[in-house]
Amino acid sequence: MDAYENEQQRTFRDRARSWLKSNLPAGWEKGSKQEPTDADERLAFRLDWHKKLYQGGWLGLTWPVEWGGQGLGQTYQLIFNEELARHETPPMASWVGVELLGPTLIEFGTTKQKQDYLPGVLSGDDIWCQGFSEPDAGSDLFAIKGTARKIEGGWRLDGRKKWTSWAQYSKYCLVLMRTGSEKARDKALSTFIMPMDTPGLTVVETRMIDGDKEENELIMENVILPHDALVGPLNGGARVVMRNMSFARGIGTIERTLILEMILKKLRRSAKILPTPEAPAYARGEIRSRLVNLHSRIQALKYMGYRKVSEMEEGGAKGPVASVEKLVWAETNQALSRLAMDVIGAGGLLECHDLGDGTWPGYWLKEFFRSRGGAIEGGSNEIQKNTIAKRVLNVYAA
Amino acid sequence: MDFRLSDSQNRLCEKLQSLLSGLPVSDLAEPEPERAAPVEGIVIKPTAASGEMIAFYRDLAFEQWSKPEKPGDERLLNIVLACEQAGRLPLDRSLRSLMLASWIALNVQEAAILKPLLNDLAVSLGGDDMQLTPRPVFTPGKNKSGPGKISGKLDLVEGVMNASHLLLDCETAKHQRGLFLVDLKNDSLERQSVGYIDRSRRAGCVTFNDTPVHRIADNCSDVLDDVVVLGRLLTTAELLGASDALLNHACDFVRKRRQFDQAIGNFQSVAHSCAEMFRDVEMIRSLLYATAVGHQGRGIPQNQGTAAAKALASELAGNVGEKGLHLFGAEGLRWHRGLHLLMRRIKALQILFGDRARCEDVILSHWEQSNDPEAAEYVL
Repeated sequence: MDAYENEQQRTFRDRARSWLKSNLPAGWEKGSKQEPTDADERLAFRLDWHKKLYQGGWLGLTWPVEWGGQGLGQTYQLIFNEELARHETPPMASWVGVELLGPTLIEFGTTKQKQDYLPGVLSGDDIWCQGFSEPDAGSDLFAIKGTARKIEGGWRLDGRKKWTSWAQYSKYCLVLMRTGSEKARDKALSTFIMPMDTPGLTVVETRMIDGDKEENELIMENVILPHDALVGPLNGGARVVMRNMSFARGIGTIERTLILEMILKKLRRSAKILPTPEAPAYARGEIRSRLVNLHSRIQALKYMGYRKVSEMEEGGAKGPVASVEKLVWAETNQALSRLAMDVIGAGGLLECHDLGDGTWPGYWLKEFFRSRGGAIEGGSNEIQKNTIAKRVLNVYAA
Repeated sequence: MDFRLSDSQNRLCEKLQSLLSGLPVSDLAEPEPERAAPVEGIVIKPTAASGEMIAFYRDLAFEQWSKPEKPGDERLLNIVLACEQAGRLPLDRSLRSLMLASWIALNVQEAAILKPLLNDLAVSLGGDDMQLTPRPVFTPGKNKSGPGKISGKLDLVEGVMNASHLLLDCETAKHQRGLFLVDLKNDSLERQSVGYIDRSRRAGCVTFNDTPVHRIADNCSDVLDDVVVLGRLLTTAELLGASDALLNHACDFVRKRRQFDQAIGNFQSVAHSCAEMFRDVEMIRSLLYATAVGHQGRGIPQNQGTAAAKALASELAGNVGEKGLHLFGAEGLRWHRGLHLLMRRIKALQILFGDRARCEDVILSHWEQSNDPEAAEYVL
């Protein structure tokens, strides 16, 4: 084990830190770090940040050089993501594109697909979404029913997709469709690139419990795609999607863990003045104990992530800790936001109330509701436990 | 950076596992009643440490503690791995105490005397949280730097009933503590066996009546504080070993045990319990290894990092122990199945060197003392 960065890694971190300090949006570092509340303005804000990162050469760090990346190892991506988290930077406009879709195309796409799409993914010119889940196929993804039928000149797509994040702003969607019988389950699925302006495609926003309209339904009625829209082998879509989802559980979870670390620090400060400065939550032993417990859990989670990156660096496999990491992150995220609501008391019930703790109005409430999603998206807690029991412990054959 | 175990650490674990396999049953094992139905499958019995194993641990401790500290060295993690492996069995010897005494022998000038005694040495330190009443009092002899005597009682000392000597600390002056060595054959002391939760260890209480002691060091509060921090780290390693062993036993059991015409592991609630145990074990492992490796080359691990690892391990190992026992059904409650030996060990380790609340107080106190919230974090 070697917990120390080498000289190049230290230099890289210093460079990243210094670049971020000079390039964060104006007023961001010392402000409440609230993005614009209007959805369109927020997108523009994130797009602006995305383009700054791109122009600074910070996107696609692990992508091959020939596809616009830097060809660096996972540890460098880890270091950069650590710095992003510690500076509490805004999200970029096309996280899905850079972190998930890009690596998927690099692995499974044709040379033409890579040439056509990867530059726009990195630059943020093209925002991507991914259409996998359906109304009757969430955790049981291989039960999807939406079909892609081979027709003269290409493919005809019919069906509905659910929980497609950022579809309303996207230019393209990587969509998983059934290309054979339902009985064949994962052996008859394929992935396609679908331009979002294709006739026959309708996007319907879904308002979520945190008030956001991040998610969408896609309704595909006689959507026609060309032959070369297929990504990866015909009927090999399950592998493409599983690999795609494994990228989501890669470095990204570590960044999200470090964000939890930052949120806990905020909460520790808030607990000393809320719900009122005269009777702060921190004075209660139970609250202090929960704060310390979450601190320990977040530290454990962080080092679990580092171990996973070391395993990925070696050969791309994430080992048994990836599912545990996702599970613990989701549980810890929820425990943290639950504690926050207990700390702030009645003030947390008001959506537009400035608590005076440096956070923007409604911040903790939004965190509380948003944290529900972490235990569902990218494989629910139950799916993670099934995976651990089945693939790691070999106790579950169902 | 590389957060995987190195090849040499994997080899060390293999060597330790081979030393720990096939050890004899200790004489603390209780015979089954005559004509009782035999306990089949997974059976855990109190285990006797072999001379070869003790010698290996002693030599490993001296080898590792003797290495000069430098960034990136692996000495602390190697010691942690050794204690983790020992924690997997209900051994009759505390190898953690051996490791701590070795550290003292190397770091306290006069303590070299301990080295030949390590094989049969019991250790009782004020910071181990095993005392219910005030600790014994030291009275210096005429020559204040020479031998002296102690009086009073130690309520609970692991392994004292089969040890030849006892290493303990006493207050020597206000806010000062010293280290002393006692020959347990001395007539002026009385050892009495106590019913201790950990049924694989011969624990006892010791009453001293002006018992002569060999003075090892005066005014060594700083050293003793370091030993408590180390003790916390090594008990965490034992908690990891015990909970990982219980997880493995539980998984073996649910793969084989059949009810309703199938292995019970096929029931999702059972499978999820196993997954939750694995989650908890990996959490303990992650924070423990990081604490050990994060402070290599910087002396004793920082107090708050170790306290966080111990607090989390105390909570999670307790969960693993309870779930593991439960998955065996009524068989898990059978004395001669022996699972309770690991559960008992976990309960003792949860208290040793500071329970969860005490460890949490260490972190809170660190947060309070630090004006800069960023500095309050221990980052690598």
